[in-house]
Amino acid sequence: MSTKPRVESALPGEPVSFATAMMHAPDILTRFGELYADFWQQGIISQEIKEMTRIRNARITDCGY
Amino acid sequence: MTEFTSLLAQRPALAERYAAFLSSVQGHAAVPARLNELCRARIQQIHGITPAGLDEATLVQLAATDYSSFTSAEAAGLAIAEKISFQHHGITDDDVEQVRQEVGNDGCVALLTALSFYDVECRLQLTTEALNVD
Repeated sequence: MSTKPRVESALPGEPVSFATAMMHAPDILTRFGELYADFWQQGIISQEIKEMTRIRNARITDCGY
Repeated sequence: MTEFTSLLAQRPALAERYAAFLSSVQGHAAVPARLNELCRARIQQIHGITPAGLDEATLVQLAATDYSSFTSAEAAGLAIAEKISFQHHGITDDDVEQVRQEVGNDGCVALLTALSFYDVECRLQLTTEALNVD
């Protein structure tokens, strides 16, 4: 596992993060945002349960998010 | 239509946004379509799903992880595809750098996103199959 960013920020002067790295492909980031917003804001499952499963999945996969 | 896409169709707005997202990933100009296709097929093989759309000889090469006849960009992408499902912490800085050198920063972001979601699709497909959801 790397401890350093593997893709630099697409925004000069901005630190690298998920968003600034994804800005290398802005159309993908936009579509991802639209998909993610629908997933989180719509449907019959509460956001609390979605967040709980997201955190559990992040821990299982050893993800920092 | 797979069990996964059939299930997703029950939420038309979500299905539409997923299709738009996947299209933006697969249609990214910096990543050759065949590279995406090969990586998707290899990830499907790893999950035990039979890929469609590639000839038998190519599928045999993929299953054997014999990338000798593929381009350097394809081999670099497949090296990450090989690990992303069950060995994601084994993806090295060099693995990513190889892809970045082949397709640039924008292509690297696009391909890594694609590989992640090819894995997601396989997991959802297997889950919906196991649940026998329709």
